[in-house]
Amino acid sequence: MRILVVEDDEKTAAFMVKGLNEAGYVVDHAATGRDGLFLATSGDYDAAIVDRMLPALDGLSLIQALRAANIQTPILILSALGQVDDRVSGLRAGGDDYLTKPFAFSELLARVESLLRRRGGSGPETRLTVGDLEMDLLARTVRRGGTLIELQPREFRLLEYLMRHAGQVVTRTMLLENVWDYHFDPQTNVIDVHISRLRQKIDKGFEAPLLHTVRGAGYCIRAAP
Amino acid sequence: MRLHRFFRTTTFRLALLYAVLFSASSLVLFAFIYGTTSVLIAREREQSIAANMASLQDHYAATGLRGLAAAILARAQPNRVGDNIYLLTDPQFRPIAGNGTGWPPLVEQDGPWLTFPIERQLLGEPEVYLAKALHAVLPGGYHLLVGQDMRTQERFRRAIVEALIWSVAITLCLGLVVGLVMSRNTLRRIESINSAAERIMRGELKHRIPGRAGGRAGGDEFDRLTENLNAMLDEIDRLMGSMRTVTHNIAHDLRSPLTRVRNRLESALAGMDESDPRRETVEQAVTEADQLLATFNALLSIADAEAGAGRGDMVPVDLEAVARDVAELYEPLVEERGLFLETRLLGPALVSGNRQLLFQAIANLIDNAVKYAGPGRRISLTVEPGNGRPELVVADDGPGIPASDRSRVLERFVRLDPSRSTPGSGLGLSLVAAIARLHNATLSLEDNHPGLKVRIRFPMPG
Repeated sequence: MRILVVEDDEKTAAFMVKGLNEAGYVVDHAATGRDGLFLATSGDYDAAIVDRMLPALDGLSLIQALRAANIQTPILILSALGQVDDRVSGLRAGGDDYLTKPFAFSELLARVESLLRRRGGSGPETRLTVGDLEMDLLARTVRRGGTLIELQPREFRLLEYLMRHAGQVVTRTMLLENVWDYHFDPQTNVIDVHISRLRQKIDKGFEAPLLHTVRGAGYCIRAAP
Repeated sequence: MRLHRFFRTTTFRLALLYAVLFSASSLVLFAFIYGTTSVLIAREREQSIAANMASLQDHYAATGLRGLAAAILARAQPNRVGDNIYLLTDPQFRPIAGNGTGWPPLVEQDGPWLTFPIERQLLGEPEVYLAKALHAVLPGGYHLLVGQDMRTQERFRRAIVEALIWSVAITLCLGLVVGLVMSRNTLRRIESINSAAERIMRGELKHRIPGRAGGRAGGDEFDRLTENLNAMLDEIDRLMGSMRTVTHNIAHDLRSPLTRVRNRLESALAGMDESDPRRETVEQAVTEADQLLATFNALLSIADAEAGAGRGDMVPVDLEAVARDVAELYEPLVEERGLFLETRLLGPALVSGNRQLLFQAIANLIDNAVKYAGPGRRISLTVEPGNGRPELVVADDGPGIPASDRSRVLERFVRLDPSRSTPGSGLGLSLVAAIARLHNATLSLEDNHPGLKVRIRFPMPG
């Protein structure tokens, strides 16, 4: 899969390119907004990572130009600005996700993978399956191996998000942002308790655990180990 | 109500005090003038009476009774201007000549000096005055009375009293009016300083005391006070700004290298086998780097909130809904740590605010309660709509905070645990305080008997 990185800071760009290469992606790099726009319109990328502050053409204008040209490549915005309104303006310009600098590479990777998955999604799904775990989105029921599992509404949303990103690492901030709709820094790891409760319900009594903790990064739901 | 405020101003009280003092001093002045002048008048009158008496006695000695009676008749013309009294009687006090109606009833006698009432009609109604006269017994047993009524003195007294009343009344009125005008003026300018101070305390740190209309520079002491206060505020602002900038820069600039370190550790971790014995050490290093980054982020959030970032983007937020979300997120954690979370959400409570920051603030308070109250304790989260002035209360029944430490814990990096063994950065409450200030809300730490009660009172939205 091809990823475009538009970033003017050489160090950050080199580190991202290296990391993404190691993760198995083909990466192109542009150092200015204008070059970035040129590459994005000419090449076929599966995702783009765009810094907000760029020489020649700023990140938000670049994204607006792309969207105006009907190029729907998923875009992750990088920014040194972490304010909530900055996020909102970034997403409103046509970005798909927003990450504040400096970031952990695992966070960037998780978000890029989430973007790539989003692109793959075709039409509204009614059923999610991971191994023998099934989620019926219409009836809002969850079964594992045919056994009905009772979930609280929030547990259902948490599991739904994890299952929609099955096989991918989902970070704690991604869960907070997408399941709880809050972007904040918890002092204690509140998410872990929710995950362990969910794990109790979907994994307890079954031979193969589905919900895994990825150290230093987040969680992942997957059928095979 | 407004008038009441005028009366309480120092200027008005001073003006009133001066008015009273001036009145008192004019009272004393008039009393002195009255005293000395009336003594002078009395003495002069006595001298003139005595001279009159002497001249009549000489007349008697020279011309006898007949001559004296003629002289008295000539002097005591009823139409003659003056207020002299003459009376000549025989030894049995029967009148012979004079303008008195008869021997007068005595009021007071001081040797040859007699004081008695006398009725005089000069213009219009007859009036009764006191008169003073010198009594002499002439050779042959005749009585001669020469005197003057005290009309002049009375008129003089009345004039003095009238002048006194007027002067006191005018002084008091003027004092009152000048006091009101002056205090209104002073009050207006003090008021502008006060309202500016209130706005600055509410967090509008860039606000300054407005100068006087017309922009007269280098004017009175109020202008100088305003200038000095503004200069002082500028200086404080500058110092605070540079301190904030330094803190901000440290946190900001250390974040990037620290993230790089974290990422290098992470990539090292990715290259290690699951069984590698160094793995645990590297993982711990990553966790610690994450904690440091969280501290820096909290510091930056505080700095942002204190700088008033996001003040312009306040929208109506339902505090109750945010509190419900926090409770929902934290309930499993609270339970896992062996505490109870009790929510009392008493209806929608609209505040003008930032949803994310409010969430962060409530989350920090619950987090603190979980950390410091200890297992088995009860945490209560209350949102009261409070008639448009919502109140948020997070209370626990743990050890609480001693009253003497309550204001200190709001400062950055202050932790009451001297060993700093409990996890945390000491920034949680500081961030809550900064967020409360950003929302113009008042944060107070109270005693929950036992435990800590954190109360945040929000202002009316809009």
